Amino acid sequence: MKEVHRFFGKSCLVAESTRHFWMQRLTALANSVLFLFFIILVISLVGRSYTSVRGVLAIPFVNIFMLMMLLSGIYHMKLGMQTIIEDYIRIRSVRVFMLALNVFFSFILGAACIIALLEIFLKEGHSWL
Amino acid sequence: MRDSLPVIDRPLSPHISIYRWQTTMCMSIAHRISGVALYFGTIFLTLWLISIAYGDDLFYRVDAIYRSFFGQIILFFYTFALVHHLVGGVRYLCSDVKTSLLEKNCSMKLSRIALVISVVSTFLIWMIAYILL
Repeated sequence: MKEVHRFFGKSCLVAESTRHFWMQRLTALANSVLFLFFIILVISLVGRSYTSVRGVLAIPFVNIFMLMMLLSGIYHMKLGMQTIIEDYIRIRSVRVFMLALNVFFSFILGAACIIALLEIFLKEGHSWL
Repeated sequence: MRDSLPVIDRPLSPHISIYRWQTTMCMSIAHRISGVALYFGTIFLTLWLISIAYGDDLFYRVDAIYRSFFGQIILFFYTFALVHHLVGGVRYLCSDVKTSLLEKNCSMKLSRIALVISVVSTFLIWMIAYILL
């Protein structure tokens, strides 16, 4: 427990901070490409029927792109929110609670997206699977 | 290993109360605000994906909400937050690589360009979407 207190109360480990910084940039770089694709995809899906939308999302290339975008995006947003919490929340107990909530929230969203995209992909019955 | 500054006392810039408002500063704050908006906006995206996976009944129900007036307003601001964060983010990545871009006049100019690009492309995206609809 002393280690946990140290971790949240004092400085994070230097390696941890560097990785945070690096991963934030790396996911940002990936997102800049992936979200451009996403915007184009959503524009092309506007007004389509359920079967049509589902059919497009089941295309392996589209499905994998969406999965990468969401995982990279959620990782990025978890890191960003962590920085905001560390910047503004000064009360230690509230901060630890919020940091934990941030991790849980990100994982729940990530899990939901993975399951949804897998379901869409696998139900389509691709012959090469 | 010697402890550095405790995280609890992480220094914050007193910009809002002290400095004169400038584009770069506003864009920096807007980047954070749009980031928070996107953080919670991801719920809408996840909900949309889940509804597609679940079946057409839920999909059309979610679709009706997103098509409604309130839904459209929220989606419009989501688009703006996304594009703003995207354009601003690319600008920050560029200045990470080439720090000379952070020179006063240059960063001022770039932040204005980023703002114009994000506003214009948000409207462009919605215009194209409505034309295709």
